[in-house]
This record gives sequence, structure tokens and C-alpha cells, in this order.
Amino acid sequence: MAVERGVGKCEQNHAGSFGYPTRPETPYDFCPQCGNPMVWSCPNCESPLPDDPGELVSARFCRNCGSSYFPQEEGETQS
Amino acid sequence: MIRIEISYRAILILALMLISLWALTKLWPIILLILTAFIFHTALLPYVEWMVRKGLPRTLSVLLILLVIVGVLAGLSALVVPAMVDEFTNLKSDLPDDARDLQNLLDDFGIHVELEQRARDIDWDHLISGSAAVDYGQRALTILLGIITVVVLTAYLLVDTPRLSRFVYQFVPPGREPEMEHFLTAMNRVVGGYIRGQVVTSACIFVYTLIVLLAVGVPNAVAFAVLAAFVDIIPLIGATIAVVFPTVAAFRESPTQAIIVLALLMAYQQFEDRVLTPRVYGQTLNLPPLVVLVAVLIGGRLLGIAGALLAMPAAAVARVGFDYWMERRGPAAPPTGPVEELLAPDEPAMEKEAVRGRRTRRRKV
Ligand SMILES: [Zn+2]
Ligand SMILES: [Zn+2]
Repeated sequence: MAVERGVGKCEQNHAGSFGYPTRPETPYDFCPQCGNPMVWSCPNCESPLPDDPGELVSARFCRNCGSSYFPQEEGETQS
Repeated sequence: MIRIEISYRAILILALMLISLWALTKLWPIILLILTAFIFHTALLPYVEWMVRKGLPRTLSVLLILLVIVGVLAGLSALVVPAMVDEFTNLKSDLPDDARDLQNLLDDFGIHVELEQRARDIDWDHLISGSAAVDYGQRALTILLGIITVVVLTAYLLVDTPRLSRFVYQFVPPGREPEMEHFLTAMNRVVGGYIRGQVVTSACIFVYTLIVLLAVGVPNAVAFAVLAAFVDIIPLIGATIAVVFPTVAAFRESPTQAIIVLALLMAYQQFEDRVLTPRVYGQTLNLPPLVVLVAVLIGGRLLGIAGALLAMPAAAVARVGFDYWMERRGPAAPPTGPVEELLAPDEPAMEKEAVRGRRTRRRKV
């Protein structure tokens, strides 16, 4: 079964959602506010982003596998 | 500049709040109807959704469900209302006598109470309507119009649920939808569960009371059974009414019958409190008795019988709201609440968080 609804964000923490009333039906690729790619699930283990709005905004790493939601950004800051 | 703008907004909000408060008191009867329609909407929505999933058109499903309910209720009323009017008229005229008999009986047992005078003092019109006496025909018309309004409103809400949820969600900033969904689900579970549970417990008390009264030979058994089913909705006080009225009627036949009826009906109240209610409601309505008592007293004081009836769902909804609020106050909750965003939709909802995110990153670098 495909995921029907969910939340995501871009690396600038602009939150977004799909599948809810008045929202796009499927996940979209780019943030309409800043143009960065949107993340809808963990790039490593595919688990969804946290439901809680506070957690969604503060989370930078997957709570399931610990990998970063924005690997490129982490690479830039660490180098 | 900005400060002036904010205070304008504050004044505007304050004025709007005062106006809505005033409108609330003025329009209360209408709001009551709308509230009732929303409660029925919540209770019936799962059945409509089920029929829609089975492939029926939405409008047809709604019409079918409401037709069945209205049909059943109308049938019951046609059966019961004439008998009930009879019985209440008898009750009104006989109650002082019955009270005297009961008082004499209690005197024999060494209990002295002034029942007869109290029975005479009962203001029946006030008890039934919660307000001063109005012409009965006019009152019946008002009630009928109210019922029609509620049915039509409920039908409209059920048919238009998708548009309704779009309307609600348009106020929800992106990323907060799951929270709204949890909240709505909790509301539906509590309010719908309450109504569906009430139907079950009312049906049970109806059947039991009917059987007991028919077996003992109390006149107007059907009317008393319906009365029991109806007052069962009123927490705490309802149980007493459901027991006292048939007992008094039985007393007119013979004291022995009255004692049998009293014992059997009181036994049922114990059964309902300890076995039936916990089973039927489970955790959906797990309110502390003190909260229920206070809610019923406040509701009854403010709105008469309608208030007492609405007290339980209102308390349950307040509980969901309270739980939700408590959850939001946790350390993970962001500083901005949904109300703030609702009042200022022109501000990008996530801007503050975005700033915060940028700051965190800068610190990292
Ligand atoms: Zn963005
Ligand atoms: Zn992961």
C-alpha cells in the first residue's frame, strides 16, 4: 500500500504536507518557498518524518536509523 | 508603526470576541440546534462513510440513514406519546395523593418527611421546559421545528463532510495536518462513542423497564419505559427519575408492587453503573464522577434539560481539548500556537522556525 498522506520539509525547515484536504495529492519535489528539494522520508531507511509539528521542525536526523535528513548539508558543514 | 498595527489588531480581536459573546447569548437556541446537529453528524458519519465505501452515492446513503432513524423515532412517538401525555396528566393530579400515601407508609417505618407538600409545590411547566409556561401548542410547534432543523442540518453536514474538512484544513498551516487529524479523530471517537453508547444503554433500560412493569402489572408500562430510556441520557439525576416515577405509579396499585418495582429497577441501576456502562463506553468517556457532577449541575443550571443532556458530550470534548493542550505544552512543542497563526494568516507560518533552523546551522559552522 502506497503512503496516502504525510508531512515533509526542506533543509530550510519549510514544512509541507500531501494527501490532506486542500494539499497536493502526492509528495512534491521542491519547496515552494525556497526551491530546495523536499524530504518526505528518511533517505536511508524510508521511515516517515515525525508527525508532531514541533518535532518535524526540530528533527535533523532520523530517529529510526540516525542518518541525516539532509546528507549534502551535513557534508558541507563537516568539511 | 508596527506597534500601532498590533494594537489595532488587539482591539479588533477584543471587539470581535465581545460581539461573538453577545451573539452567543442572543442566538443560543439556534446554536443549540447547530451543536446538536454536529453531535449527530459525528455519531452517524462512520455509517455514512461505510455505505460510501460499499459504493453507494453519498447523498443516498445520508438520506437512507436519516430516513431509518426518523422513521423509527416517529413510530415510537406515535406509539408512546398519547400514552405518555395521559400518564403525565394522571401523575400531575395524583402525585400529591400518592405522596401522602407514601408519607404515611414511611411514617409507619418511623421516617418523617414532608412529601405531600413538596409534590404540590412542583412547578411542572418549569420542570418540563426549563422556562416559564408557554402555550402547549406553540411549544409543540417549536419542538417540531427544532427537530426538523436538526435533521436537515445533520443531513447537510453529512453530505458536505468533504467540503467541511477542506474548510477546516485550509486554516491549518503546512506540516500541522497530522496534529489536526489526531485531534479530529479523538473528537469523533469521544462524541460518536458517547452517542452510540447512549443508544445501547437507552435500548437496554427500555427493554428491562418494559418487561419489569408489564410483569408486575403497572399501567402505562410503555410510557415509563420510554421515559426511562430518555432520562437515562441525563447523568446522575436520570437514574433517580427512571426509578421513582414507575414506583409511584406502581404504588397506586399496591405497596407490594411498588416495592418489587423499586427493588428491580434499582438493581438494574447497579447493573448499568457497574457492568453495562464500563463495557459499552470503555475508555472513551472515562470522566471522573466529580467532573460529571459539576458538568451536569452547570449545564442544568444554564440551559435546563438541554444543558443536562449536553453536559456529558461537552465534558468529553473539553477533556479531549485539555489533553491536546497538555500535549502541546510539552518540551517538544513549538512556541507558536495554531490560534496565533489563525489570527494572523498573512504571516508565513513557519518563518520563526525557519529562522531558528538557520541559526542552528550557523552555530554548527
Ligand atoms: Zn524551503
Ligand atoms: Zn532512517
